[in-house]
Amino acid sequence: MTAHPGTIEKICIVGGGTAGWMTAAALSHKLRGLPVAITLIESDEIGTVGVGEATLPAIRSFNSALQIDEAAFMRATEATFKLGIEFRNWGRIGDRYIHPFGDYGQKIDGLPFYHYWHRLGQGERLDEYCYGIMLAEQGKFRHPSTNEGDIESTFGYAYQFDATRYAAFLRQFSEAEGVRRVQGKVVETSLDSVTGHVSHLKMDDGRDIEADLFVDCSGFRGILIEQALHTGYDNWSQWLPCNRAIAVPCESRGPLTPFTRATALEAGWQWRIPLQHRTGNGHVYCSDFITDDEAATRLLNNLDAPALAAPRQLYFTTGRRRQFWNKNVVAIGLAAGFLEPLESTSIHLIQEGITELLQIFPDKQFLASDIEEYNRRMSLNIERVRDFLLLHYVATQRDDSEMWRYFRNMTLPDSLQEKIDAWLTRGHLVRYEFGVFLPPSWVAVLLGQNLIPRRHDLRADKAMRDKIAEGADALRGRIRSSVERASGQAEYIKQVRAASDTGPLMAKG
Amino acid sequence: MALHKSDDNVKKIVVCGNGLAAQMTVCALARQLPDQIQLTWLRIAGSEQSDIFYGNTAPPATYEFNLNLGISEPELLSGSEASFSFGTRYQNWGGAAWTQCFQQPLPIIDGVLFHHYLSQQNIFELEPFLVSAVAAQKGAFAHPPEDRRHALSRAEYGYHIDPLDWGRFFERMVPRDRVDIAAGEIADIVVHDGDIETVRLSDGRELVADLYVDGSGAGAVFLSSLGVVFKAERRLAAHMQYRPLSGAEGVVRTLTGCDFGWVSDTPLQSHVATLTVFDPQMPGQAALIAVPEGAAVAEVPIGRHPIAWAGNCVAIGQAAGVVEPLTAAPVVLLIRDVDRLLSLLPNTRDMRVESREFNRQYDEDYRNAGLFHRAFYEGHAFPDTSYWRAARAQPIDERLSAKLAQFESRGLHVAYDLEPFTQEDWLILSYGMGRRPGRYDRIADRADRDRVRQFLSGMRQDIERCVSAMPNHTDYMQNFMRYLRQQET
Repeated sequence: MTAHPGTIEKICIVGGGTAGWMTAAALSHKLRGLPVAITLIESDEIGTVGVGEATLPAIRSFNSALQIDEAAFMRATEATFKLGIEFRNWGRIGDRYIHPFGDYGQKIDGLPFYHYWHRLGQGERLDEYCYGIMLAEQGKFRHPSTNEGDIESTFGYAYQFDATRYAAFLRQFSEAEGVRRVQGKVVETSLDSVTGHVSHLKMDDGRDIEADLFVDCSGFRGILIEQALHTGYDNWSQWLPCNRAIAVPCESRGPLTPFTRATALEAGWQWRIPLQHRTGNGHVYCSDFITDDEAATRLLNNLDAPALAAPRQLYFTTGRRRQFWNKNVVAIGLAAGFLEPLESTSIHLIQEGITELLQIFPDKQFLASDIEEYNRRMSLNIERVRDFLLLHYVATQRDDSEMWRYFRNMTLPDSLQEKIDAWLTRGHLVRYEFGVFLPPSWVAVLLGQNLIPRRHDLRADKAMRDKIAEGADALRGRIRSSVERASGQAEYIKQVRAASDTGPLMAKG
Repeated sequence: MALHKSDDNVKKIVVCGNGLAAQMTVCALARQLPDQIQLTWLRIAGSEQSDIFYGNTAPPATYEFNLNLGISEPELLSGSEASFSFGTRYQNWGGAAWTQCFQQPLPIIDGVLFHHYLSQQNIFELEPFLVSAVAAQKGAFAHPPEDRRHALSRAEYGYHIDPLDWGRFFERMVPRDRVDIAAGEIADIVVHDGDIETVRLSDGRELVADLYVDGSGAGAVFLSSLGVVFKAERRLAAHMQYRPLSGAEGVVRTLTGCDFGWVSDTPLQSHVATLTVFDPQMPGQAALIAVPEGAAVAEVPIGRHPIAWAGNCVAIGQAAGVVEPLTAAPVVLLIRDVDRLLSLLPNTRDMRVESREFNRQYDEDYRNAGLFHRAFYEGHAFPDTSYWRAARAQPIDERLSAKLAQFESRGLHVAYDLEPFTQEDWLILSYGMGRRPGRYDRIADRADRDRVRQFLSGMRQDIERCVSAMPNHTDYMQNFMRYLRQQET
């Protein structure tokens, strides 16, 4: 029973971007001490997309599982702390709200606080009862308290970092853990004639690379999962039609905001991600509604500081690979699928892919039951993210452009329509357990985009109104006075020795 | 015009039934809803006996459920026969015997779930590592501390209950004068356009409400009046009787498999409840199973309605579905039904959104609980009698197949959203019934085998030490109750 028949001895990761090096780092660290050799192939000639420079709080557990020191990682990747995402112009032009990492208020007799807020007539912003939002709005940061009773324990945080530097940081980490890096291009993939599994790869310099398990981190092209195994792709453009992006970095000026910004535009939206040395910007748009040139101009005109480089164009099709794991190939990152980075999920989905792969790590038999379970779990993950992203486009009063009218006329997936109906009718959230966005996230977007429930849970009407108001006021006061005492993000980064020594980048001329 | 399309607020609710589901629902509504909602309790006789099918164990979630209603543990213990429970000891069950204890998550070491290290070390027993199971074996109990360094902190507990007594407790916890009581017999239920319009009683009174809650037991008098048809899987009979405490009672229910079904003994505060469950159609059954005088007796169909909420009527507990009281599932599901009703209690007479969401959750909960029960009957060494044949003839849901296959293949837990039974429940059941993973997580091999061995043996010793210092359940209970009485005075 304890024997491991046909254990995997060789793993080959194809692609050295964020996905490739995150996979290499995690596998090499978790499998250290076992007789497994890990090779990563990357080409210096092929650029990486460097998906999502903003992350979700789960990235912290990824780093801590690798025993990565937070300050060292932040210095190396120009990272800043992230308390949430500020959404501008999504419900109506001129609106803004922060989707925080943390809950609003505290439950009373098991009932979420927002029902009581609704009962009180929504006089104060619900945001005032959320520590993370108040901290973010003040441009401040502190680490959460580990003492559960403290108001300062009620928020989470993530990072905004330079993904290319993160990949380089993890490359160093992985190579120290024994990962062999092979530089070059894959020119041919050979399949086993009996099993159809990938048996070896031929490199442009003529070398052959064999492995038992291949992880395809080759990006959109999916060299193994698609080009070799023809797995197929489910196109989700009907739900999320944005298909292009233009990215450009600019100088970092003004206070270092502890949040990412996503501003809705006429044919898409614009991101702003503040790092220590520069600010990342991009315009995600749908080519049916705006030309590339117009999109670039729109982006450049919106920058809050001089650009540091020429804009870079990206093309994509939103959707997912029909199987994330097919035969002996597991696709992770863009090779597995693409969702626009509106909620910073790209790196998170990479992380989920790696975590599940480790959970369901195969042996040479590649049992169908293992592959099915992995695909089931990852499908659920990505589909739930898709619905949550779509919510941003449909929970809106905007109809000022062709794109917004497209969303207005869309028939939603039943699961999403039911969620919205339950919310609007009575502030009820249709819950699930497996998926990254839990009820507070849904509350943030729904309320932030002006979908105010018509009614609240009747249980919130039981207690005396004055007593609820008193408790709510006290909570707001506690949050306010605690936030007052926190430091600005830039200062805090220095305090915890996470400041890089690069200094801010300056535009030429 | 259909009533439920109206935007009028829900002002009146009628709950029917006389047993645990109705008692618990009325209590929850009365304690949680604002006073402007008028509550009427239509007490129709007839369903109380089948309450024995709720069984004798209430899950750990009961504590929080009660607390949300403003009912504390001391109130529960002082006001009912409830006693602490570490779970159920199954005996003669398909050739196996184990303690299905309530348990907090086991340690995760180096990202690897605990049981993989047992496989790696060729250790076939899980129980020595379950503090609740070891304590149960010794009949010891103490409240688990929060300090995670303490071995007992991984214990979890629920309650032993007598469902008839427990129902009366909830009835007593209904705030005085909050609920109008209407006792009588239903003569007619007037249905219009998929809604209940009026309930006529045999004495001529008429009850009209915006929402009708059916807590009438397996007969489902309200729900069935709307044409919702119960789908029965099989029939079971049961009787429950009491005997005095011997003084040596443990902290678990003991459930023993027999040819005709099973018998459980549950120690309560002042007596032991014995529940016998059997197939009423078994040839020669009457000769085998003598029903004692004074025992509560019931025969019910096991199964459920396809939906629990139709029109302006929602069914709770056995009126929605009847589950064999093999585990805490009947009470788990009852609590979930009441919780679900509270969280979806409609504001207006247009309750289409609420009913759709209620039915979705209901279907998931009953389906997922069904997986757990069905897994009890997967094995080889069961008697070839009608009870066991009928239980084993129930179809195996694809979710259960995936769970069993993945566990046996590699010790992987396949989970679905918000299941009523936890990963630990499944692990304990699998080990208890003799299922073992064919492989273990390879990452477990990173650890030094001697150190793993030492860790495991240290953990066993910690648990044994901890349990040997615990008082026995009877003493703990007596002291606790004495303390509560002192507090009252």
